Amino acid sequence: MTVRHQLINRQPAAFIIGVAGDARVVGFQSARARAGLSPAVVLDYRDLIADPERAAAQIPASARVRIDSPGRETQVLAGLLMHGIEQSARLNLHHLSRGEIERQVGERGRLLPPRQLFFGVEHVLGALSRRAQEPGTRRIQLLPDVATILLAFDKAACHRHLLAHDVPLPAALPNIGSFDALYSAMQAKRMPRVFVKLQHGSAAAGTVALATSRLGMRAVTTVEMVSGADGVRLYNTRALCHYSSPGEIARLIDALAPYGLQVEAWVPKVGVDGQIADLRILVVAGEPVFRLLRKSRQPITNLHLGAERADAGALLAQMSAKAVAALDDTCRRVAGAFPGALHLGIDVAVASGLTRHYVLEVNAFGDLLKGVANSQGLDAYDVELRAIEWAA
Amino acid sequence: MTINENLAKLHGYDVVDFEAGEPLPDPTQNAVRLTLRFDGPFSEFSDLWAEFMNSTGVERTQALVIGNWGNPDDGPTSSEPAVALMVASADRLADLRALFFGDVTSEENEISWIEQSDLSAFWGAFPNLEELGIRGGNHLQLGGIRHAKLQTLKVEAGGLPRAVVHEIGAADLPALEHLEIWLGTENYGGDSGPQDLAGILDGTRFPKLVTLALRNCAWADDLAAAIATAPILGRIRRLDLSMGTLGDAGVDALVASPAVHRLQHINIEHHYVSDDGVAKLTALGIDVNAEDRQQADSDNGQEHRYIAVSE
Repeated sequence: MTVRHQLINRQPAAFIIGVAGDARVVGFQSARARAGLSPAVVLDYRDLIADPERAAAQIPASARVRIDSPGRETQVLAGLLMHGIEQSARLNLHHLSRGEIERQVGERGRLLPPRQLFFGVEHVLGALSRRAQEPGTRRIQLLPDVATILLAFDKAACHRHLLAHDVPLPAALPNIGSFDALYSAMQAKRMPRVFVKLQHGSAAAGTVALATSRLGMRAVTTVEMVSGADGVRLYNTRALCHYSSPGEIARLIDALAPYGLQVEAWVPKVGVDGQIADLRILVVAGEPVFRLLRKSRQPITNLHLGAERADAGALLAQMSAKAVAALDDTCRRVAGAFPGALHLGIDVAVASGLTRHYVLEVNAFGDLLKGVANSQGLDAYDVELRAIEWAA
Repeated sequence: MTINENLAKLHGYDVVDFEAGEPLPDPTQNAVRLTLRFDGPFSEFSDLWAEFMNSTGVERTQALVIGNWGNPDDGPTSSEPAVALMVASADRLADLRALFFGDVTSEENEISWIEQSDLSAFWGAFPNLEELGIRGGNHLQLGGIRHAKLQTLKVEAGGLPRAVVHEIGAADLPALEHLEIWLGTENYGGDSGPQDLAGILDGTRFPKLVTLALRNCAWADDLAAAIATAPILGRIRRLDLSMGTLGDAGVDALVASPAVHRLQHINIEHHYVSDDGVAKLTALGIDVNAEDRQQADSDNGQEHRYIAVSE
């Protein structure tokens, strides 16, 4: 037996919770192959959804389990939403029934209730947590652990958590349930420009950048409102919608409010090459390893909305050494606040003026960085695998 | 499109923020920016201005950039108090050669919400100015413009009130070489039309004018037609109609003018001109910038063209 084989055999069984064929699973498996490791066993979300406990029982003792994103596949979304019905109903929160889920998941762009999805993920991944906590000496290791995934998923909880860890954040307006409440809070807290996000939203779904002044108000949003017999239906749109009538903006916020809002001050982001820019930083094992710039002509900077990805070097070079060091320090602080994560994708706004920065989002599944490699040619998955080997 | 980036250069100088508690960046080597930043150390422009005026070397300031004069927590506020402070300290800024007033990005405030005021005191207060840039057209007044040394005047707006266009058209600026005006759209207060440009186009002013830039104009075809027959066209070398709604009609009017051949450069970047139209311009044998062609939106047979910077 060669040395390499011995090394492989000493590795604990590797699992990945994901969707077979998904770019994330493919990326991770490719990195394993490059590292001379056997493919991880894919435990598909569809199996987990069909019977969480039974699926979780397939994981052997001492296995190392990477939990990845459930993705956007219709069947998976529907299954997770179904699992979210019970908890939503128990808490008497706005949610979709089985029939509504079946009708709406297939509808292109329809905004699905992210809190219900959160409850579904919580329920399904709960089976993995229970499996990992079964008594025994050779524990299953979940990476990230389920608590980390749920904390990053809930923007309000994440904001509170990061605040307690002295992470620089835009100020939040808590418990906003309507446009009137929002507008009053903006005036009372002197916050004329805000980002309204869905508390459990992802990929900028349900996001509204709202600016107010004595001359009026303007909203830029990923949400398109369509009036129907059943009221306003909400759709995600890649061509951002602009609203400037207070009545329409009120209708939009009121339509979003039942989904659960997280409202934060709009940090004026720095401009790079004439565009609005922010950073996606991937930390692995506590250290920032990839810093990517997103450049956009719109205030909402997600890549699928047309933002360009660029190297962050041009921005970092304009910042003082002190400001760059502070940015790294913030990333380490965020990582320290999530000890259950090996990697985190942190979205950071550097405010115009280049001295201050703010953490906008933390993504537990933030490592799908297509085509990005470091100076040694390693991609995010390669770096993560090396970090694990180093830690093991 | 919006203005997303702070000014990087002014009058050939790199722009550097003046920071609380830090020494003044060498004001003979840099343009100094004073702006109230989001979450920044100053909440009042008067405090920032006082610290600037108390800093060593302030009298040697060559170039000054003013950004947010209002506290970002209050939303947009009038530039009037900032103007008063600057004018009151003007005797200690006698070297000032360049001023940009309103370096505010779209992430900080919409260009059409920038609240300007009466800036007419600048003309007398800063007699050595060679370059003045202004962003924001709301409530903007320039008064009776009279300045012996000003070489560059830029007024950027999503919509510039016609009264300001008239003030510029009546200006006494014997040294002016570069005149740049963003006319904007009626939706944001840009209520001017071709007739309002008479004072600028009749060629009786601005004896040293080289560049005429009438940008971001929502009626650029009419603008081009007015320029095509205007005396000023025979006197300038560079014509800039960029960021507007220029289409083939405007180009046809321009190329029909004998004076257009005397230009060295024409800029129509961000335009609605066809390939044929662009070819007519290049056939003039002058330098042409026709980048960034736009596609008009069509709505019930009605064509919509947009200017580059509005809200």
